[in-house]
Amino acid sequence: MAIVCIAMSRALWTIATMGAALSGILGVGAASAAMAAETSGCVTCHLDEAMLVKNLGGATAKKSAMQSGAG
Amino acid sequence: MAPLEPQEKVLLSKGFLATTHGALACESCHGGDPASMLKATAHAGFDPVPSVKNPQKACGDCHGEIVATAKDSVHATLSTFSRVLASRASKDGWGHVDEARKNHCAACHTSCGGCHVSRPQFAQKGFIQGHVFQKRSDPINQCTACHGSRVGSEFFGERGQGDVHAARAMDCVACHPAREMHAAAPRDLPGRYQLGELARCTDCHKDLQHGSVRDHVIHIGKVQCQVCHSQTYVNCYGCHVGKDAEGTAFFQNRREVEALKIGLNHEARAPGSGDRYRLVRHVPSFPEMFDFYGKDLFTSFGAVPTWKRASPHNIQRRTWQAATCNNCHGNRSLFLASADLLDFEKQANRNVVVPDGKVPRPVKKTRTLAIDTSRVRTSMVVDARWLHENLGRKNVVVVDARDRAAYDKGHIDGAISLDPLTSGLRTGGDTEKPFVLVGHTEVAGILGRAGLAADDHIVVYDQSGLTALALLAVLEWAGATHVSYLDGGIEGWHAAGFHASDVPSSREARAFTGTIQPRFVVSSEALAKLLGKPNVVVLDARAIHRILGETRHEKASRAGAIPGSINLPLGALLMDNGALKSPAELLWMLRTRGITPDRTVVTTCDTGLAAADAFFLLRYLGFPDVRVHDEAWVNWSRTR
Repeated sequence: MAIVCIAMSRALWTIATMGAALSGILGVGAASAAMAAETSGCVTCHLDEAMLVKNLGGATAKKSAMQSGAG
Repeated sequence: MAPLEPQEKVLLSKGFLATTHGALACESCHGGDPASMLKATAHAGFDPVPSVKNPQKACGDCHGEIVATAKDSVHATLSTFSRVLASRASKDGWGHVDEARKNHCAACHTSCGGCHVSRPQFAQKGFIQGHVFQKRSDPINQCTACHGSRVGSEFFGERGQGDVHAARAMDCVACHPAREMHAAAPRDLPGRYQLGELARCTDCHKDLQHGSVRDHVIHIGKVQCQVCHSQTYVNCYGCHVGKDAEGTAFFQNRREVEALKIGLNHEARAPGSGDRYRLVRHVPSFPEMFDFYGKDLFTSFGAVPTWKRASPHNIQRRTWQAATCNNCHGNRSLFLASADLLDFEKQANRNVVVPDGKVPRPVKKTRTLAIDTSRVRTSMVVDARWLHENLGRKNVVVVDARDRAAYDKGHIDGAISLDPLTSGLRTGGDTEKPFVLVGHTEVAGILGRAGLAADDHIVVYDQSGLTALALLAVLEWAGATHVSYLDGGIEGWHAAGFHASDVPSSREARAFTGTIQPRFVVSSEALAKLLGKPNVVVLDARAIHRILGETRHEKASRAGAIPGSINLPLGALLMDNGALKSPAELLWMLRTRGITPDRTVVTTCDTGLAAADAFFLLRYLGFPDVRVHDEAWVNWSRTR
């Protein structure tokens, strides 16, 4: 999994770099921002529910068991 | 508010990418490394809630004018908390008090994101629409996620009838617009009610003093609107704070009391606050509340009242205290008295207490309400004193309808445990037809094995009324001939000075030979045929957000309500601790909704539980023809 992630990371880095270069050539600020978001690794992972389930399984809220009553 | 799974909290929607905010690079707001696909490195330097720490950087580039004031708003700074605490604290102790404030009180503050994109931090965070930003805050997932107990519960009818504004589908922003929410709080603002931009009833309800409502003309300027238009609300006592063994901060609010109290206005100079009388709510402060951080920190505890100005969000056009003049005038119990104060707070509330001479005198000529209480079946409700005197009498059987853990912690001596939610009286949530009564034979078997006979005098209690009343409804349906509800439940028992036992009790199995009362239960099919008949009224006992379709039960196939049903949330019929309002008040309230004893009343809800509770209470009030829609909305929504 880690290898896959690293490989994906490099691929995304390449895409992101190319995107940045392209936006520089075209000089279109908004378009470059949109591309940055869409090609971002953040978006890739945070659209992948299965991956999030795997990575966040067992995550629990930080709330003391001693808390009681209306807040 | 349904909890979110961890992945749900951070799952983006594709729709977000098509929005203006979705076009921004994630790291421009949140930091982190978007080029990394490893969780740890991708999140290095990542800030999940950037607008909390630096709203100017996160939001100010585009929304500079808003951020300029919103960063200093009451929501962002909770500055009035600091001001109140500082006025009570000793100079030397302020450091400890401020540490406690940061660890506990300040956990409630929020910033741009908590109102416009995710649930606030205090409510465990999480996107509410896949990170899509909303101009208008979400009442369920945002506003009442924090303002839950005192505002949300009362607004949506989880306590009381709910608020008329909620029933008209008005959301929080309808009264509390950006002008107020984004307003900067002046540094010396003594309390949130002094904010100049605060919403006021008269922003919409204008020129009341010259209107056609006589009571407005008489009372306006003397009495805060809520005094006449609010219902009972929760008062809190004894908030202890500390940190557990793992260092996680906690609070324990030790006592909550549903009541309504009128106090004197001691802040007549505050904007829009010239009334003589206003509602006051007990706040959970007490001198030792921050003892975890240091002793004797509040040397000036009496500087600020603990009965604080209140604006309950449970407005009704007609309320019991205003139903007739003398429900309020001369009613000493409505007005805060010295006897209502605890020893440590007498000084703090000296200007809030209403002396006898300032309680408005009874009015000689006033209309009567003509409420007929002669049909009330008084034997269906007993109080703690009666039960204490009759414990151990032959055929008096006491049943604790709470869950087993609560029973084991302490119960009325001799009571047996029978939790209607887990004892097999109803089908499970994952069955083909969830949450309906099982067959009469099975029910009779369960009751008999618990040691109950149909001709016993069965007294049932619990913590809030919810399960006890439902069990009583089942007992009536199964043919028990003499059943009673313990008014006020276990809390009322303790309040009357009676002790609990931790020794479990059981009874020998008996034959429960009651005759089933099929007329008490109506199926969805039968209910559909009754709809629209003029002598039939369907009482939906759910909270308002269910009726409006803003939320739904997880087992329902859709949100909504049965056509033509009348909403009266169960919380209107009984208090938080399971105590009942007077029969006259209940009958009056039902009458205001068109629910009168001359009609056939069918009670419904999501799962049949609240419907069963309402069924028993209406039977107690003397309604001759009451029926439970046991299949309730969960099953109705699946088939119709």
